Amino acid sequence: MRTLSKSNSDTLTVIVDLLIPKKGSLPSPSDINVVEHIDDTISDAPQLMRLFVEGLRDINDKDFLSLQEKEQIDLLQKYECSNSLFFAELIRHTYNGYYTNPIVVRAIGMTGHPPQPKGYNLEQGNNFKLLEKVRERGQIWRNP
Amino acid sequence: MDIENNKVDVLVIGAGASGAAFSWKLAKSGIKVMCLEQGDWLDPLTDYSTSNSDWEIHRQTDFNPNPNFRSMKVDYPINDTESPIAPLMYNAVGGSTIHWSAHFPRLKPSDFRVKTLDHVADDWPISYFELEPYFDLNDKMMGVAGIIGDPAYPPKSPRQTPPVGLGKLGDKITHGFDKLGWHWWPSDSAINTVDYDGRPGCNNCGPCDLGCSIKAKSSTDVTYWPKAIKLGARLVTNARVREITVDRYGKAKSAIYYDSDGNIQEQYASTIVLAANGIGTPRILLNSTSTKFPEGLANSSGLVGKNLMFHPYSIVTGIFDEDLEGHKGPTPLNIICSEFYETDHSRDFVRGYAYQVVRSSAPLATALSGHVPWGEKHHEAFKKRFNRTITFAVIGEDLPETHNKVTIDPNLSDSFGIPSPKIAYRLSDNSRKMLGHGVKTATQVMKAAGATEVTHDPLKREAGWHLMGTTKMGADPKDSVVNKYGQTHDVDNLFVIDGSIFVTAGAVNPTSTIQALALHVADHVISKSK
Ligand SMILES: Cc1cc2nc3c(=O)[nH]c(=O)nc-3n(C[C@H](O)[C@H](O)[C@H](O)COP(=O)(O)OP(=O)(O)OC[C@H]3O[C@@H](n4cnc5c(N)ncnc54)[C@H](O)[C@@H]3O)c2cc1C
Ligand code: SF4
Repeated sequence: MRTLSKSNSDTLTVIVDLLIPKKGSLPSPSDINVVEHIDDTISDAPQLMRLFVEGLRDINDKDFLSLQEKEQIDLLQKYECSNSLFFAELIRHTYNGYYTNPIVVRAIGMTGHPPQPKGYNLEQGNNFKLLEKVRERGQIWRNP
Repeated sequence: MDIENNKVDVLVIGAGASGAAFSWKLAKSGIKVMCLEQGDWLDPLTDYSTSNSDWEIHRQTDFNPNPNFRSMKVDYPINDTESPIAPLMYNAVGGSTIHWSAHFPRLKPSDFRVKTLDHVADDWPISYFELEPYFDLNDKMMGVAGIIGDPAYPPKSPRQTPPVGLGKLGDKITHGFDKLGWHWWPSDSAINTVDYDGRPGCNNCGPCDLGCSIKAKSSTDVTYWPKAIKLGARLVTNARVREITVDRYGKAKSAIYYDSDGNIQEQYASTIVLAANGIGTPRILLNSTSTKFPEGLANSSGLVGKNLMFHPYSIVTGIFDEDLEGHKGPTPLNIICSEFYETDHSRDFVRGYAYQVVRSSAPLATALSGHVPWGEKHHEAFKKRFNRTITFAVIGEDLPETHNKVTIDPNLSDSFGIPSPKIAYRLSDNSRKMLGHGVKTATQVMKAAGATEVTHDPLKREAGWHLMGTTKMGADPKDSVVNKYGQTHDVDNLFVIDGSIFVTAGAVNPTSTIQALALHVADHVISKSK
């Protein structure tokens, strides 16, 4: 880790896995290095770094890791209201790391490749023929 | 400084949509034209993120369309705290067309005659039909995909390439329009759907807003600029103009700018042309004060910066219970509905609106849409939306109002210390009613197409894509800043060619019309110089 202490990164690991639980072929964030992604991101952004370091310390102070899962979720829900700025960034960077990971992108039904250079095959579609009816209804532009 | 040696015939400020078209036309006629651009060239292959797995994150950072979020050195900050709509733009060779969705509809004939027809705002001093040859020329230069025969327009010349494909999603939504018997048409798009003019056809990768790395999308860095430069136009990048100076007769004399090293330079010209967009242009004019022009250059009417129009947008999203493969194809699907475009006196608002169809959001954008909670229900909510949404961008015509304006913020400046703009904008009652109507009818289409759920955002904030009206065109110098040739009433060798000169906004994307006007002004400048 470039920025996060061991205790903060342990806490963050549990948090991100509660935000996006593992399900079927969809991995948990900690399986695919989302915590490392967040650590990297905040290391290059001083304001964000402070927000995360202070936010996580605050959660740690409440003995987060020793709570039951249900209590951890309750605490996060409270935190979402009381420290909405940090929580919004926490969600954003967790989702950023998760939904740009090729394993996840494949698991949700895409190819797993970025859009370029391959692009996609797009069916032309069948409905251009319906334009004939639009045409038949006649001019709708207003001639000044 | 040897003024004569350092003097060009025509100096253009801004290398975006309008500056590129104008510079090409002048270079083609042999005029010595130079363009100063505050941004730099981007290399589509290496500077765009869409070949990397983190491509979607770039929407939040270096490719955010909002310059305040992007905060790069080439950007200038904009105080938008008094506006419910945030202005968006890009600063580079190609200007905002680097980011744009390439919807390419023209304004319609009635848009140029709103006072005569509807007793609001003002008529333009130019008509659709006068601009038609320039629309056609511009279409050829940009390359337009589409189908002729749209009954919402007078007949048009053949389009350069076939329309953007509908795909499953397009088929779905067009059934909705068809069921209601409402107008829809594949909107003109400045996208090569097949190879055209040395550029390849689109491979349907999706995120046009992040730049097209294969150059299928017609941003002006890949259309006009290479041709203009070949013809002799000179493009100076990393050149941020601070002000335009005048001589003792009140004629425009030079542009003072900061070069890439931050040094002040002065470029003299016989004619100066502003193409810095609907915010950048009034900013330069208002910053160009002198004893002759204490309120800013070309501002005897007091209208420089006033009448800012954006096109307010409502967003309507339908959720469908099948996979529509919504990530395939240009995200802006480029279907347009003009059913409610023209004034109908039975409604409680004048003028009208259109809607454009947008494909489903990409994975990260879906997750961050505000509809996908964290926790136990996360995956279920994601699955319900991903690839299964269709969105309408309801685009309304906002009428010009002088209290909607660009001024200079006394407390804000860019990285060179040039004072920055401040925006004040209020949504009018007419626009509010218009968008409300649009949300209702768009919801009807979604339901007719089979949406199981429809949500809407009544006024999208990050939607100030279209910047218009801030140096209004007109015949009367007391009530306008430029004449029908983009020439300022006060300074006869100073012109404006960007969206600032729009008299009214219409209810379609403006760039096709901005560029047609730029070509029309170019012809005037060429004929004057002969
Ligand atoms: C995300 C996005 C999507 C869009 N989608 C569409 C669409 O689908 N269809 C459509 O018609 N329009 C769309 N637009 C709008 C379209 O891009 C603009 O209408 C068009 O680019 C305006 O052209 P312009 O020449 O007036 O200004 P711009 O293209 O913005 O160019 C202005 C140039 O001037 C330069 N400049 C400004 N100030 C200075 C200075 N002081 N010194 C030197 N250079 C300066 C800027 O760096 C910039 O390159 C979109 C815009 C955005 C941001
Ligand atoms: S969808 Fe087509 S036009 Fe848009 S960026 Fe991809 S290849 Fe380019």
